Amino acid sequence: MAWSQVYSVVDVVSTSLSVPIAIAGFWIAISQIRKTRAAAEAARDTGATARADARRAAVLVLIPQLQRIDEQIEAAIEAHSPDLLTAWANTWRWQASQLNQYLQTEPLPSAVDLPQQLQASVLAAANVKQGLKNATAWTRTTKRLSETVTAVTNNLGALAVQYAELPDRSAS
Amino acid sequence: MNSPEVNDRLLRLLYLLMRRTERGTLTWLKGANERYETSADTTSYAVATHDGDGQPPFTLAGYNSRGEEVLFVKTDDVNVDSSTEERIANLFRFVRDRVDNKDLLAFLDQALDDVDDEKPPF
Repeated sequence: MAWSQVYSVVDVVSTSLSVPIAIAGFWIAISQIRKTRAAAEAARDTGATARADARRAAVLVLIPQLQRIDEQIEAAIEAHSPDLLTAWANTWRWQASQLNQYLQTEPLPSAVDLPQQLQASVLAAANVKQGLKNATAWTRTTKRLSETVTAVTNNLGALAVQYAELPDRSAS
Repeated sequence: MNSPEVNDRLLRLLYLLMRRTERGTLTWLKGANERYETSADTTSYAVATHDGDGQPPFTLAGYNSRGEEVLFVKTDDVNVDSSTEERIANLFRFVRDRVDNKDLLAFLDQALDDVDDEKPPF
């Protein structure tokens, strides 16, 4: 057999095989991409569920904390202690702000007024330090803080129930 | 304001604050020295008179979700243009009227409804 015939046979074989090989390669690549995408979506869903669960757990921890801070604020007002009141107002400010951020991420239809009430209480708490610099402003400053904080805590019980009753996404 | 981008947003904010106040979806509370405060979902605002006398210059302050002041505009600041100055003044006067006359306005609304003999039956 002449070398030219060998080359010719090899050429025919390689030409006829290239198309199925290319198709097979293409199919393998597509199936790998599909598997990768499915894995990425599953990881994303798992991450989203984990974040939502962590958020819900944080809210359920924040609610009793805010109720306790409310009690401490009332006690500080009762004791007429500017230092205690300033400290607890600051604590309220950070915790209420955090709860509001969680509510922005997962709003509940029945808690529609709560973000506005939380924000008003945060502003009232932020104003405490400035307000108490003026000796005559005690009543006005504490009244505003007490009213806005009470407006929030009045709704926290219902919020806790709603959060506790949200469907358990980790089980799905 | 020097920046056109800031100024545009500020004018829009003032327009929206006025609109929501007119619609009654923002609750303004009166503080000391002619200061009125309100809160949206994650931000708060205060309009006031700088000298606490009900007269210009007026101020607008904005607070973030942690209660920190991040916006402060005083109407006689050289950087504040006339449109912004006018809107802050209008907002202050409107809010003051609404808050200070809240009970009277509620009574007058009820009275107008009560006395009107030409109102539709339903």
